[in-house]
Amino acid sequence: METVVRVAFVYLFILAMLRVMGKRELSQLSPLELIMLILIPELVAQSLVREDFSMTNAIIAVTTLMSLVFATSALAYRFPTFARLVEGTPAVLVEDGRLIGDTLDRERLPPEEIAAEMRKAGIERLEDVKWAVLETGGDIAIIDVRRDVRRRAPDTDRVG
Amino acid sequence: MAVSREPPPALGGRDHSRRVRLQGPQWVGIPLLFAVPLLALLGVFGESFTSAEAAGSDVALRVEYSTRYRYKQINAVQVRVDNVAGEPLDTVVVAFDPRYVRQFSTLMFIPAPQAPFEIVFTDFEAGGSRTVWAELQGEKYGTHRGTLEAYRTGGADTARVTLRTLILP
Repeated sequence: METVVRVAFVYLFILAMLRVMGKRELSQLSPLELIMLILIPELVAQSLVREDFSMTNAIIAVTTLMSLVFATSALAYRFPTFARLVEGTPAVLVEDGRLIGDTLDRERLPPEEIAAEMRKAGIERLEDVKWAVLETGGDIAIIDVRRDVRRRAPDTDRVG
Repeated sequence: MAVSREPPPALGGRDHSRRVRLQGPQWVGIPLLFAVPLLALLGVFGESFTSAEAAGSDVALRVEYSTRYRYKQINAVQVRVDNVAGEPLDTVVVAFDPRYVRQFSTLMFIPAPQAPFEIVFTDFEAGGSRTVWAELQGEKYGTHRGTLEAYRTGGADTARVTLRTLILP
């Protein structure tokens, strides 16, 4: 019984910590973040299984964790509000070629990282970025002006 | 132009009625997955204890022990022997069944046994009682059975209880 409570507590604690840290930490790991993610299992392992090294305890711990993961995933799918709570929402970093400073500050995301993503997308200038969005998984999605123009072009033609 | 700070509405507000659907083996696997922690919360995989009593014409025996615990956990068998003969007894033996005890490891007995798994009490006053404490560490998986006996040396009968302990892997 105690193992179930411990695993549930640590799961919720780590989930909350990951939400607090922000989306960027989920995608690209800096050396400091990598060290932290390696150390966390070492630190929490004993508090989860204590001195009980039986297979029974391991199975209880693993099934508790997997149940929590499945339940969280199912609830997040069924209830978008719950999904926003546990996964957060996408954050706009650039809109119509303008950096959104508040978002960059909140996400601790330097403009250089946006520039790197722009280069990957084949975009040279910030003015050519229609949207740059930090997705909940930590990736940066970029929509450029040209693509936006191309998408709108048929409508424009019809109007014209 | 005002900054909306909302990402572009890729779906245009469209959604569908969301339902969580299981498929194929998930109908079996997911209930099983949830069953294990739920059963654990109900104590099915935890320790359980019981007591048993028996009496002969000379001694009465009461034992409290664990009927279920896990690999490498340590539990105690607590035995109380009473002299019910109405007279002092020279020698009383408390004997654990070796078939039962040998399924465990890191054995510790208080008082120490004089013979393998046999504790001997001498000069046992009428109406008096003695206690035996045995710590057994779970080693071999499965259900282990054996007897615990208490008798007066040369006596007519034996107080005997059956011990049954399940060691979870």
